[in-house]
Amino acid sequence: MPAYIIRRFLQGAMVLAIVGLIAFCMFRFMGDPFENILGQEATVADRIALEARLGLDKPIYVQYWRFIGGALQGEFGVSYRNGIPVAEMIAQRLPATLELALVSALFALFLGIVLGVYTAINREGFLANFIMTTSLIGVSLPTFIIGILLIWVFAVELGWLPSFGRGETGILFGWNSSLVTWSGLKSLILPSITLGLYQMTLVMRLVRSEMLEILRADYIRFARARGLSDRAVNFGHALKNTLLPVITIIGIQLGQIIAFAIITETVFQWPGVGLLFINAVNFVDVPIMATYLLLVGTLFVCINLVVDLLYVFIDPRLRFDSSKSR
Amino acid sequence: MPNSSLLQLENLVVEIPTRRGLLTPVNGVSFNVNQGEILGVVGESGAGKSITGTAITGLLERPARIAGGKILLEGKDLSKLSNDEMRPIRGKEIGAIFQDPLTSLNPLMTVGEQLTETALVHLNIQRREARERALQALIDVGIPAAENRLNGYPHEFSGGMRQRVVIALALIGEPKLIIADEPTTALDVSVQAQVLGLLRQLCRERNTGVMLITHDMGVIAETTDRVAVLYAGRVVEIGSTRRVLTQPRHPYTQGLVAATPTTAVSSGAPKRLNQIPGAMPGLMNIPDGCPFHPRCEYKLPACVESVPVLRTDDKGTLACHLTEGVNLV
Amino acid sequence: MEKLNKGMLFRIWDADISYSLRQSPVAIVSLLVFLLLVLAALFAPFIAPYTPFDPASLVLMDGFTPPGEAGFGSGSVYVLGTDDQGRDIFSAILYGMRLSLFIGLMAVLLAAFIGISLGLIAGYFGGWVDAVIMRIADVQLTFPSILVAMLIFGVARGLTPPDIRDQMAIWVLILSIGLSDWVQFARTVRSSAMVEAKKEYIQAARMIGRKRRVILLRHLLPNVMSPVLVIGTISLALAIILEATLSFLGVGAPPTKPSLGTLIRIGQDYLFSGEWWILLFPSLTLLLLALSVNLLGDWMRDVLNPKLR
Repeated sequence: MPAYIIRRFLQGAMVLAIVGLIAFCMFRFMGDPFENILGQEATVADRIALEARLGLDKPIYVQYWRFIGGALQGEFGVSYRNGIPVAEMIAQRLPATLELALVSALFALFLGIVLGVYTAINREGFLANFIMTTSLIGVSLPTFIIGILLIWVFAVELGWLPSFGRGETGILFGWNSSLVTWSGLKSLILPSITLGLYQMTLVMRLVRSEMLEILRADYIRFARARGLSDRAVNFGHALKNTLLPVITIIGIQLGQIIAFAIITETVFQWPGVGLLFINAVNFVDVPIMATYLLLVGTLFVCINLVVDLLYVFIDPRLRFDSSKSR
Repeated sequence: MPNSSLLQLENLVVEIPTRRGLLTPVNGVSFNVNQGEILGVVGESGAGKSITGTAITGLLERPARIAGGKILLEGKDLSKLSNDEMRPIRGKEIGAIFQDPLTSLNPLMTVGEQLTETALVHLNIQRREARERALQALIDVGIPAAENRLNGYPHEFSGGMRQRVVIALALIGEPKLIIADEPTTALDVSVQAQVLGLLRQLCRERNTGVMLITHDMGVIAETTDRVAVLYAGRVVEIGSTRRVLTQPRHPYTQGLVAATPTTAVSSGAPKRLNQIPGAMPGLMNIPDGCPFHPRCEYKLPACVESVPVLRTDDKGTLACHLTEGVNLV
Repeated sequence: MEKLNKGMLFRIWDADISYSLRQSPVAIVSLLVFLLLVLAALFAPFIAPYTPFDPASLVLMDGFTPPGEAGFGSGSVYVLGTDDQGRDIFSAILYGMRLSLFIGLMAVLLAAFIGISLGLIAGYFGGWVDAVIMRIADVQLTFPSILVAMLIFGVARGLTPPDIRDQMAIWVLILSIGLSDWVQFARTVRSSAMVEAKKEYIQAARMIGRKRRVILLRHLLPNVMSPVLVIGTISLALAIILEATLSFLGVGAPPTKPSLGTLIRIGQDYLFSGEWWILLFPSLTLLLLALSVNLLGDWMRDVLNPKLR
């Protein structure tokens, strides 16, 4: 087992190294910091001075080293558009995205599991079939259309919920949170449904198909033959075994949610890092793009690693050395 | 001990409607299992043995259904009961053992948990006592260092040990009847004898009846008291194991016995193993009349026209138009 | 000749796939809707009453005309209304779909080309070549394809001079969507190739002394192609939706040559002010397109899934 963990660590480290390399190349070779920072009337002397200040006159590997060193210390350069340090901009907007992502993930997971179990147990029921058909639509529609549709119905026509922005925020555990104000909560509803809907349908379908397959297993048959009640069989035996593969996709889910947050934040003008990123791409603001890449890459690698470790911890079959089983 | 009839099957019929037609894998099966005895139910794959067992426990999966006959457990007809009514009977009065011990146990639950849970369902006791019963059950089936093993997971046990755990699980509810479906087929030959011996011993001790389903005549010879032979969904012969193996009366039984290495060798000089020509018909192609007649060397005109009735005489039970049966020369 | 055609047609009708198609009303409807949309897009130059991609033909005063009414500036009638620039919505939808389908198709071809090539090479040669290619694939797979596409778009755009950015946008889009999607082609082809490479007809070809390139192209390639079709169709669906999303976000088709996604982006701005038609009609069209293509892909996956046979 330790070998397995070490291997995953190494893989993660390699991905990070490559991501770091790409980010560095972006910083170094793309865009024109001179024009943005100095303006169009820069003289040659100004350029040389700036070059020295930014360390662009040193050899490549030194620059890369300084880049990594800087990154590890939280120093990511300044935005090409407005000169504000990237780290500051990201820190300011990260809570919004994280909150949105978390709420969406919980929504997707909880509802997905509940519906998945329901449609598996009540396979033939009318409601179950209806849910399955609607889920097909949920999977096919692009996220932004869902968002716009929700805005249309709930904000424009019904006027129940706000159509953009985060509402008022309050302080929760030291950062700005929408969870503590009423307007904040209302603003959170439509975006998190939009963001979570696709993932919810995925979870639901996975749970359903896993559970259906498990309910056909020999040990379920044996459990029934021993006289265990339907409840004990469905929830005590089948559900536990179903949740195991679901855990593996949680990691991918979180990753996808963070990526798709870009779309949701754009539709709802939600002030998170996703919106920051897309604006940066539009204006070729390289430092922000590169830093976002680094950040997201690190996040993904960490998430995947945690999920792998979790899996090992939960499945007793993986916990032991294979040489031990006789 | 008085041998009373524990389980009585009367003309059990199981049907499976399919798109291509109606299949009848169990077509009028009748036999008894008595208290404290081990009845072997033997036949080739597809003869209907397993489905009979499944029907008895009421675990037939749609679209299969019981279409006729009776399943009498101490006089009570199980074939008419709903799933809710069958549930208290499963595990408490009828226990089941399946073929593959690895897939029969939930890989994510400890052996102790699975035993305790079953004990709690059937015996009116508290959790603490249930756990003690679980421990005792493991000891009874001969698992060494049982106390440590309670917290073990199924994959940590060897194949033979696992099947012992399965037996423990089946017996913990103290059932009167056990249906064992090919319990040793998935095990190494060396372990088979141990497990079968354990099953025999435990059932003798508790006076539990056993219906042992198998395709292996060797298992029949070693373990069972009486044997019922199935062919294409029907019973062709029933009798004491000793008698059936030494003097089989039905042509099919005769062929089975002659084709088995152990019995063939033990009755004299090593002979050539006889094969029964042809193969058992698939469920879609069962012929009219006696299902065995296409392969039978003693075929009579009556065999093609009508199905022989299962009749009991002083020598045993037989379904054959040659009413005296055939003698093994 | 007559007999030949009739025979072939009958065989197609009678084949397994056609049978399954006829059994599923959902699949039939999806196919019809999809074909209708594709045909409309294909024949856009003949069907569309206006040319929305030609900025010179737009009459600004005709902007914000409701559906079915005449524009203030030119007096011509616009069936589905106009947007803020005076573009006829109906024509814009047709041309936009055309653009989307073009981009989607080209992107999938690009992804398939890269994926199949790399997959063949990795599967056939094995060793460190295989390891390198697979490592790259793994790294790329850590990220959702949307992100990869956005990144590539951003980088490519950053590397193009500002004045031709709009012109190049479409090709950059094709590049980004294509590059984000090659991995699944590569993986499937690689595993097929690994299996086929060990078979005797390949050994035989090697014995005779055929050049590697010939072996790869003439012998190996045809035999690994069957799953590619399924992946290709699903990729097309994903590519169309990805393009719409990217255009909606502003990193896709430019406002001068809008695709459905761009139109929706424009429409969202006017949602509250009452010009609902700018949003509704492109959204409905995209909805139909996305749904039909997805349902078709779903059905195809079920039908061609060997496990369900």
